[in-house]
Amino acid sequence: MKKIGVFVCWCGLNISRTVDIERVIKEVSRHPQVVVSTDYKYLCSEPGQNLIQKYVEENELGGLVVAACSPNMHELTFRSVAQRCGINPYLCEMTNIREQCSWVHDDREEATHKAIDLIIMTVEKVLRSDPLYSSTVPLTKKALVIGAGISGMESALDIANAGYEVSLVDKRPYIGGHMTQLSETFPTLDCAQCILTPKTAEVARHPNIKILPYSEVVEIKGYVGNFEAKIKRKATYVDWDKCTGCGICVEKCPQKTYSEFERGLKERKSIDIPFPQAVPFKVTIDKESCIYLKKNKCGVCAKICPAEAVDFQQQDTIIEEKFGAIVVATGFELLEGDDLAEYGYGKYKDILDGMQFERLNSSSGPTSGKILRPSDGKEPKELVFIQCAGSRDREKGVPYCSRICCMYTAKHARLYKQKVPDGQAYIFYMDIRAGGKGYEEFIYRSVDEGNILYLRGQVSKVFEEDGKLMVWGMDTLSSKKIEIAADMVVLANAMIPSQGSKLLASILKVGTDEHGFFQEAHPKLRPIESLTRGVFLAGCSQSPKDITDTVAQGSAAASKVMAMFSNDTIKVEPVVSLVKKEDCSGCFACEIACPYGAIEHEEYKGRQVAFVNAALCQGCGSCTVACRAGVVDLMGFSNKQILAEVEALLWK
Amino acid sequence: MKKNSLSPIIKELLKNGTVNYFLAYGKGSFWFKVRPLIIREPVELKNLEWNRFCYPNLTTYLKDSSRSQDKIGVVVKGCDVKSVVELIKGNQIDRENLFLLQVPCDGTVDPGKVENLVWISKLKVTGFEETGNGLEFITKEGRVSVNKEEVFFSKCYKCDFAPSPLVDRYLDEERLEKNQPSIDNPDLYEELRIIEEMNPEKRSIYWEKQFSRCIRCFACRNVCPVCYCPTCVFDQKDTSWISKGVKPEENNIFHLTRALHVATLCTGCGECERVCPMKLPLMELNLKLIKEVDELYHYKAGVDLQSISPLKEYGKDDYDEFK
Amino acid sequence: MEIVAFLCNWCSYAGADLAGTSRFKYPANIKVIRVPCSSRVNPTFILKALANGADGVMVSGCHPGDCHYTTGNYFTRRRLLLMKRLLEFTGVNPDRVHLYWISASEGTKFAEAVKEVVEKVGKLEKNPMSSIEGEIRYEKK
Repeated sequence: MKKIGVFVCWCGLNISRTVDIERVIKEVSRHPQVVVSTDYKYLCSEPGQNLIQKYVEENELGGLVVAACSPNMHELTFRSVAQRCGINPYLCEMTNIREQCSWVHDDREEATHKAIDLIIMTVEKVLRSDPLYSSTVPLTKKALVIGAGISGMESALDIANAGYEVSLVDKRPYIGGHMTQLSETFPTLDCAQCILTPKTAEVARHPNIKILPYSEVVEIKGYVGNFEAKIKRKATYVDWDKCTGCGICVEKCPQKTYSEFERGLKERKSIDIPFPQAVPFKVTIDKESCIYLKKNKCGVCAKICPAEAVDFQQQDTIIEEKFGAIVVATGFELLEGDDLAEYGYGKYKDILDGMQFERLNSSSGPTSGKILRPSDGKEPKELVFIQCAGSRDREKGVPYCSRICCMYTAKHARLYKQKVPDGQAYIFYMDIRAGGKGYEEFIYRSVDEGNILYLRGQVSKVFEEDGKLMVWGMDTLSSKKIEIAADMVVLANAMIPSQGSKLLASILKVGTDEHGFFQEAHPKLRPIESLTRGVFLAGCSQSPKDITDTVAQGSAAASKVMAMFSNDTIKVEPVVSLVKKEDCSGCFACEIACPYGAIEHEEYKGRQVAFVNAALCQGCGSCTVACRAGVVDLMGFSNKQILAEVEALLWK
Repeated sequence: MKKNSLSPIIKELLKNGTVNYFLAYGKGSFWFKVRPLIIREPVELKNLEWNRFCYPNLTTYLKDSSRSQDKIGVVVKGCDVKSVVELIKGNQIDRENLFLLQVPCDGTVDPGKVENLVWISKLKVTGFEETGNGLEFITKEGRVSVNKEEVFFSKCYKCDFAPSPLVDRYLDEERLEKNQPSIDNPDLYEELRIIEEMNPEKRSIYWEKQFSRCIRCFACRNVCPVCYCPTCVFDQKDTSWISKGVKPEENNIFHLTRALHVATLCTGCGECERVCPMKLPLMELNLKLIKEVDELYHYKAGVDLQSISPLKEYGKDDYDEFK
Repeated sequence: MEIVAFLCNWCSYAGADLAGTSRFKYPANIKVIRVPCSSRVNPTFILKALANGADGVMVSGCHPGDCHYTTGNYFTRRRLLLMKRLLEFTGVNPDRVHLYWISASEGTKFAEAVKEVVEKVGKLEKNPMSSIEGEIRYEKK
């Protein structure tokens, strides 16, 4: 049996105020394996650490128990102290007598008793701890970036510029994401295309970046450093190697269909290039509307294409590739549907969402940048903007703030005033959130421009009457009911995670929050990492944010990837499951319980038995309970360790 | 029941090499007992038996069979097939090396119940005869008639047998179709109600008494077809799941853990309870979990090879009484 | 009264830490055993605790759907539900074993849960599964 040293921390007064430390060390020293039981004011300090080292050397300790704060705080600290003293770090355990004892109990007697019991439980655990060793696995220095919006592109460029290969996947047939649809950006009113197109061009021609547009990730196996991805390249029915983007086919195609890019404000052809600056500049056939693909008739595009690029036989293909790290940058979309029914969204043509209004403002958009009503092409003179359409709504829509709506609504109102100087803009708002560099100033300029009327309050109803859109609302500052006969209404729809996020999360085995955004490892300190090692988050996939933050997070994710790739191997945590194969029945109940596919089969004495791939195992221990015989055990939290902690209750 | 038609089939299967040996029932030391019989040579068929007392579940002897290359034939009743299903699902049987010969069975007789009913001393009964609805025991004092459900194992008169595609050969297909539970719409969980309806204190005392009688002989575990772990969790040397000495206060850990370990695997064959020398009502624990699993997750063990045990799966929208 | 609590490292243990940093008070009867995931909690651990002198057991994990390991707590939910039904059937009051879903941000909920467990267990008779009256394991050296 090991000789155990128990070190009790005062944490100044934090622990010692409530726990009688003198009594604790005396009681604990009664345990036959405890040869050192001592205390110090601040064990985490350098003299505290040196004290531990001194005792280890003098007493040839085999295991350490540090009774102090939460292991989440200082487990790493004290395990590295153990390592410095020549003790395997996993033979050092912490007892939490601060967060879970001195801070939550008032009674000194009770807290002292509890501290003693908890320490004895830990001593019993350490007595059954085995030394554990981290292993390393080789690493594929190639990154997969999912989503080629501004965030994904930024990530891909940074990683590629560091000299590593990147595959950049997007479900759309082009890169650039939502930013390609924007007209101008706040707070500078830069032309979105002018700042975006150099980026898309750079991405497209970067030797280290392989762009995979019109593709989706369908399967991820493996683990950090060694992910095996299956990416589906959807059939475009056009051989892109041959297509020159001349556009003759688009001109001749007789079939029109809904344009996602223009958000329905304009129709497009079944064979199409979504917009003039699209990268790659290639045509794609929409299989839902193409006459030839549906009815085997037409085929005009194939006949007319000078490059003979149209290929109706094309099939979806699956690319299999290995990656060391993954960046998720799948972005957002706008809330639609019943949640916005009170605003008449989807019912009346002249009620637009923010993105549609962007298209109206875009010089390459359906109206060439003119603000015209979709219903009759007339210029709207009374325009109502409604912020928080679906956001910050606990009943309908989403409870969170979508963060960018205050800003882009102010921008929209200003663009409108520039284009329709005699028009009147109204903005219904709950309150203005303009917490960014230059944002508050931007809002004030919008307010000061005049003829933009900010109304604090919410809209209760929008309905059509005599060709006007009647907006009923409330101005809570003047407590007056407001009724506006508007020509057009623009909603700042809530941002929600892009479609397919949930599915992708399950493919990647990363969590999502209650709203479906990808879950970061820690809301403050690890906002870039997911809870799965090697999968990083960027942009609106994690939460709504503006372009500035999106780009910053894209770069941050890239730097995490680069830090990983700067090593040749990856360290694997030793807190993993292990199978005692001679006792394994081969029932593989463990295999089904494992969320990571870490249980593999191996042959042992003519039978198939379970084997844990340590690089895949994340150490949850679900398999250990699925295994009736307790043959699969979790290192560091083994059956005998936990049972010993339970049995220590007997100690009185 | 026809042991005469069983013999030529086994003989043929041995002869043509379909199987290397056959696992069947042999004559026991008393007329009301049978024992497992391994038939390697046709001459051994002389000890073959098939009667109302063939209640043991022979599939428990298949637990280790995947380690041998022998082709094994086994005589099974409808209920035994369920155990085979679980053994296959647990990768304990190599289906390729197994030949299932099913004999029609419409119930086996529990000697204990007979004893309660007619035997003052076992030796006084010399045999029995089948009558239309029941059995007639021949004693020196004369004949005693009993109804089937009075002497059948309860699993038998509630038998929900359905022919399984898994079986290689049926002995008598015509008879098989007629296999029906002895009573209509049996209350599958009737044994549980008495306990469920007890007040908690009484229930606690009842089980405390039962568990305290356990001598930890492990017969229940050893006979169980789905207790197939090479080293049982309770036999581990270095992990103290329960104390090695007989500590009555830990007996419940053993029995409750065992019940949980066979939950979703237990087909209700009742062998554990039958072999218990202390006559602990072990099937009540198993039956309780069979009932809960059925009600919560609509799953029954031993029914088919495809369905997955609800303890190996999860449902995102499962019933959740926790806060 | 002794309560053993198995807390998952990522949600509930962090929630308990938060209760500490927020100084939410709760009874000292609870002894926490940290496990990586609630799915690490073997029902036999609970039986063992009850037989070894614990008057009650509390298990707590991330909310269903939020498991750090994606699906672990879904297994826990089934395993412990069956176990509780079996315990109740053998005369163990269901109030002896509790399962909670407590996230890392629910320090208040953790403190309230402990209070609730202590209160419910406090109302029960002596634990029928335990026949241990405080055995002295270690004599003074």
